[in-house]
Amino acid sequence: MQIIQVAFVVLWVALAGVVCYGKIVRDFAQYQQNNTEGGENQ
Amino acid sequence: MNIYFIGMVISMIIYVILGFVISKGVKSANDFYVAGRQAPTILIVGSLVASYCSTGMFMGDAGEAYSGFFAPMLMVAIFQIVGYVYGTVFFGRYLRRSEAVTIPEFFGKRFDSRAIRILSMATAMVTLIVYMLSIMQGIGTLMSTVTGVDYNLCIFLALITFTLLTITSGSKGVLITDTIMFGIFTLATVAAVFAIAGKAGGWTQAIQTVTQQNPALLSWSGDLSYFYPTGGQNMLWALLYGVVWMSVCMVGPWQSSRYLMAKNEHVVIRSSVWSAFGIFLLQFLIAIAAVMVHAFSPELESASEVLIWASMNVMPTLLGVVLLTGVLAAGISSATTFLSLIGSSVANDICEIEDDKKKIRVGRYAIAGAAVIVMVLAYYQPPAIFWIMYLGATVIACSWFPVSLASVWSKRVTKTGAFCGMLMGFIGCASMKVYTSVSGASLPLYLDPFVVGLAANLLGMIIGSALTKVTPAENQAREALFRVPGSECDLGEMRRTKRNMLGVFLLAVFILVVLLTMWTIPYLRAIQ
Repeated sequence: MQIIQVAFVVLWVALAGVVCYGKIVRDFAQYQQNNTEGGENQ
Repeated sequence: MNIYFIGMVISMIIYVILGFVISKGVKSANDFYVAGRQAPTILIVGSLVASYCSTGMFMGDAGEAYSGFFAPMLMVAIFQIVGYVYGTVFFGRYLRRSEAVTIPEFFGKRFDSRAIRILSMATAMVTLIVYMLSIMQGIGTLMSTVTGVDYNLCIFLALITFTLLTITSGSKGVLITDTIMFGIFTLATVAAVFAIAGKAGGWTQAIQTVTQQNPALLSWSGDLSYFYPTGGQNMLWALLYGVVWMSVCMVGPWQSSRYLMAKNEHVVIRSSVWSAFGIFLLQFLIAIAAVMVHAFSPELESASEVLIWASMNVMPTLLGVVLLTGVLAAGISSATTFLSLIGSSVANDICEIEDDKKKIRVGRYAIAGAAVIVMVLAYYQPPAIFWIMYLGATVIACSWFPVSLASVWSKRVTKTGAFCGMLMGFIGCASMKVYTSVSGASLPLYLDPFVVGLAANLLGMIIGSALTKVTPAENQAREALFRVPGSECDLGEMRRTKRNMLGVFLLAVFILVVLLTMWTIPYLRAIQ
């Protein structure tokens, strides 16, 4: 049971990593795109 | 007067002197309230961890682990650390982007409503004062137990220390001293745990001795004679309070207010990862150290004093002094954060003063006033550290959590919805807490104050928003949160932040290794 408990907490942290890293990567790509478009418009 | 008391008094004098030195650099209200918005990652991490770690952790949590609640407390800790990561990505960086001085100001601007600004300020004040009380009691218990000096004199000395520190140097001083204190109590904790384990014959031997005494102490379910009678119920409790603390770490005023002081949004995001490492390490080490004390004294009268007892009876004297000074630092660091938040809220949210000098002056008076109120309340309260601390956290989670997330991510929540949600969440949770405390009733988990408060908040927010419409001002305020300042788009900064975020996966591996090698494997061997 303890092994399951450890697996659960590790997966829970890893899930946070997947969700938040994914969000940051997507957002930063958007920032870059907006910046590039802004530069072209100028 | 003994060596522990001398150590504590010297450390308090140093903090006060530091406050005076740092105060020379406080030139404006921005410096005083949000540290000039120039704080680097290390200071935000230091302050996040130090404000989170109080006497509640070193005494309340340690006491729970000693009493047989090790595994459930560990589960709660894992949810907490995840809360930092989710909190910065989905709330903290938008809060920083708003350039508000206080979180109530953020809510007020976002919903174009003075009413919600005042309500969020009032709920924060209640929580901060309740929480400060638990810290005062912790400090009082710590100092009076160690020194034999009168309890009230001890809390008075501590109160003078953190009040002077906060009044003189404001948020700038709080950030710097928090980081110093974070360093002190982290090093002291690491050294203390290994000293306790060493004295018990080494890490594996210590776990073996404790497990032979009571196999349930380190089991997955916790000791079933302590709280709930089944492991399943204990784990459900852990999941529920894990969510409570996760939401506190995401949006709680004493945590998310740190982001307002960060140099930029990248610092906000990076700080979450390293805070998560720090909190996990401290929570795990403190809890397992408390359990290991069973090897020396399995039946301490007051469980919350387990680490104090170990400092004085198990560890080498000098290390004991350092650990107790560290516990005191943890209490003082949280108290300074709370006091500075109270001062900031009074000057910025209630009085809305424009003049810089007057704004600082009013904040200082408010800090002094709050300190007097806390001193009077602390004088009359019994030392029930753990549960008082949980009341504070649960109430803020119920009143702020859904509204905070909705303020960024919902287009449909209106000022009325946000107000009703916050108010109903607060009333729902606080009334259930008062009811259970007064009647002594034991409610099923689905009627826990957190569940009731959270449901009331969501209900209030949905009904209030359904009956009203989002105004153009509210729409504009929300859209402004998604306009990224050019300064945040630096390629190098973005690359560094992404690299830092990979640290969450590193954290998962670190947790796996620590839990397997320092808990699971030694425990499973011990019960064979």
